[in-house]
Amino acid sequence: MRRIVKSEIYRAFHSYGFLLSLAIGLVIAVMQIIKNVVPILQYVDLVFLYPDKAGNFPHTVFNKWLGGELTGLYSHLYFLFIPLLAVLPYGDSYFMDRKTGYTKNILIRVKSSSYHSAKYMAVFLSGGAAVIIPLLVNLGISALLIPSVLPEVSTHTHAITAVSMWSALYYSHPYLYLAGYFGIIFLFSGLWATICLPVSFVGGNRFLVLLFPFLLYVFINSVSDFFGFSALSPLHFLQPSQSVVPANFVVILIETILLAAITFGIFTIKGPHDDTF
Amino acid sequence: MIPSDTQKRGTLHYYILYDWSRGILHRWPVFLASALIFGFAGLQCCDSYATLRMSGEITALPSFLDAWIYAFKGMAVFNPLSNQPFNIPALWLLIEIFIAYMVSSYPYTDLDGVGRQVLVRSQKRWHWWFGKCIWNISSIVLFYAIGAISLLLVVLLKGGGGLTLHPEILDIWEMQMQAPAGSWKIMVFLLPLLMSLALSMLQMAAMFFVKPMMSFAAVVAVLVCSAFFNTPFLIGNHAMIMRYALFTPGGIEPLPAIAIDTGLFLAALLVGKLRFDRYDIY
Repeated sequence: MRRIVKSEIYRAFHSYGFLLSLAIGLVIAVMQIIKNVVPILQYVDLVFLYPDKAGNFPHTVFNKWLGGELTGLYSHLYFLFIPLLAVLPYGDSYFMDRKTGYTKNILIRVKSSSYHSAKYMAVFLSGGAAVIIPLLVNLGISALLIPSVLPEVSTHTHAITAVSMWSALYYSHPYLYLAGYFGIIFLFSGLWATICLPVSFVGGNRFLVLLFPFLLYVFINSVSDFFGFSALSPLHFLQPSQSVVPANFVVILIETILLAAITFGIFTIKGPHDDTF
Repeated sequence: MIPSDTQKRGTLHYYILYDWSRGILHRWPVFLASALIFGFAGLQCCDSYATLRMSGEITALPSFLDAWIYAFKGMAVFNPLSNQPFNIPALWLLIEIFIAYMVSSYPYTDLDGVGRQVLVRSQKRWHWWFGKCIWNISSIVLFYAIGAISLLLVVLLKGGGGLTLHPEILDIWEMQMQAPAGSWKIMVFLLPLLMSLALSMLQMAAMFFVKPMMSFAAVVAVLVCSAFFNTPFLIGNHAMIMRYALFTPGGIEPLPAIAIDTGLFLAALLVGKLRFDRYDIY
């Protein structure tokens, strides 16, 4: 079991798709810094030059970084791209392993259930990592450039309000808030990538396997908007700024459990019992 | 002279029939999904009408034109300085992304499978490419036709119909009609279709430069940027009725939009052909 887990994780993190996914994510993350963070650097020191000027409040990293923006193009693009970034590293690997005959060679060496569990783990970890790394890089660079001033609710420049999830934590310990959010994003991105695994059983081609999670993501967004439950849409609740609608922890928890149960259940039950030829 | 079986298989019309069969008839679930998406859009529109009728804000029943505009209205021009969150209309995004998905897989998977044998038999690469271009146009037109029929059916079932645009509903959607040109109704139907044709042709040509997933991602990026920036050069704007000069001062004018879409379509067709002529198939 240990060897197959190591092997699958190695394949996932050394794949061309992982590098490509990281490259796309990093391009968006760096572009956001160039376009939205660098232009405000000239104003960062103004508040210290005129400390007695009423209404002056310094820019803070928490509403300027990629996940904290209120009106940003790049943040919308990034959070819309999450399912694509998550599946690119290793999402289609099971489909391709079956198609190319790699699975046959593996299954004569290890137990089928071990192979399927290792595959699930590798897809989950690579999907989560591919999404979270550019966000961490963006936050890191932004924090190097802009001071981490504690958010102040009266400035009206933060989307987090009293009804937002973990709002008290955001205004008291913002880095703790972000750590919690990174956990949610990692978990959800990883699970979203694992949707490819059960789809591999029925998907007729590689593109359907890779694009299905993205289409589902956009479809859920559309349906939840229609029924007036925008908080159900991962596109909205995964944004740490909670700019469109306040997130709800119970909704996130239920969706996470459902997603994990469905993907893991189908894949690890059907996979080992499926004929390999 | 009667052409032999092999000669017949080498002709362009054989390719077109082959693509219609494999790319449209065999992919009927994709078109069924288009009926469902537009049916869903029609229901959304009728539902908002019903709510407004109950509150007394409107007395009319929804028309087909109302439902069409609802599906393709998109969003108002976004001002990044407004401090309002940027949120692309979910329905518009779903329709446009579904079209991109529809175009993304078939040409590439065909070249990986049966299409390669057909290509070898015909001995003419340009037949394969033009066959795919005609398949692309047919798929998009069929997608829109199925969509329009679904919208019409939903509106008729809800008791509405016709091509009358109700100004009351425009007020509620925060759309104000400027001085309309005589042909505005045609433009409202034509421009989204032309935009989809141009964008899908660009996507298909781009598939032979970068992988299909990348060309799909590039199309999604174009759509998101189009929602953010109001410029005719980001062609996603051509499929947002709310941003037409008809409804937004300084918005998208129909003639330049048609010229840009047609130009991009022809450029993609030509560049795709030139690229495919030199494309390694193995």
